Amino acid sequence: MDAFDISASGLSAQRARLDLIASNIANVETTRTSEGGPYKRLQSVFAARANPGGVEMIGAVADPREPRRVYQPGHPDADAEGFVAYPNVSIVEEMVDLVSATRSYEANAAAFNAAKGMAQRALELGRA
Amino acid sequence: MDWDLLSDISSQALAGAMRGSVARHRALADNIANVDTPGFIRREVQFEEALAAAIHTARRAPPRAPETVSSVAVQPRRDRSAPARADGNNVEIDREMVSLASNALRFQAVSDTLAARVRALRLAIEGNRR
Repeated sequence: MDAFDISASGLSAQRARLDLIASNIANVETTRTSEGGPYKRLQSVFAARANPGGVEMIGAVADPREPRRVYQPGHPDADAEGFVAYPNVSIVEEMVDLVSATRSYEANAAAFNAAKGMAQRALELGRA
Repeated sequence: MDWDLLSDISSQALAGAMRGSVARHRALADNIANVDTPGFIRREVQFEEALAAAIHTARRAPPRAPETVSSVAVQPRRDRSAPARADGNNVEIDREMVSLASNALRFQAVSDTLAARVRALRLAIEGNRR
């Protein structure tokens, strides 16, 4: 049944989004990355699937906003003026996003369960 | 007279309602999956009026009656009437969850009714030999 696949796509897209949020929260103070400079906030990009419907995360895009500059002259990553570039992650924003992603995940789980209930009912017709 | 056991108008109407409910569930699940997709326009399935009209027609024109009922379309349609959010998405999650629950209950009611018909048929075939 397509409905299972559609709800499963919602579950996995929201889970992938939760992974990005977790990564953003974990790296809220990360000043060094392999590409150099502070960690950049990642945001999920969702797109609707044409067939059989549902959703998919088509990418994780770096947030283009400027890093947070904090005056910490003693920090090893401080620039000449004594400012350290911290990730452009706002913990408040991430927490709001986290709650929203969790709720959307739960909604997809509820839709999945409803589909399961309907399929079970239909199977019971044969045993009536 | 058609001797196919479940091809009477009522059974076909119940089956049509189940098909409609499944199609509606699919559309609702799609709306729910796309609650965070920018620009997504919700879809909905409306079949009750078409099904009622088909049943009405079938009762008046018996020869191809069950076919009239079983051919009722249950295609989803874009619903642009709901107000869109700033990101162009017009899925309202609470509304979708309420529709999801009521649709599942309708499906249950219809499938229970069809199950009762199947039980009655079985009783007629086998007799009460338990």
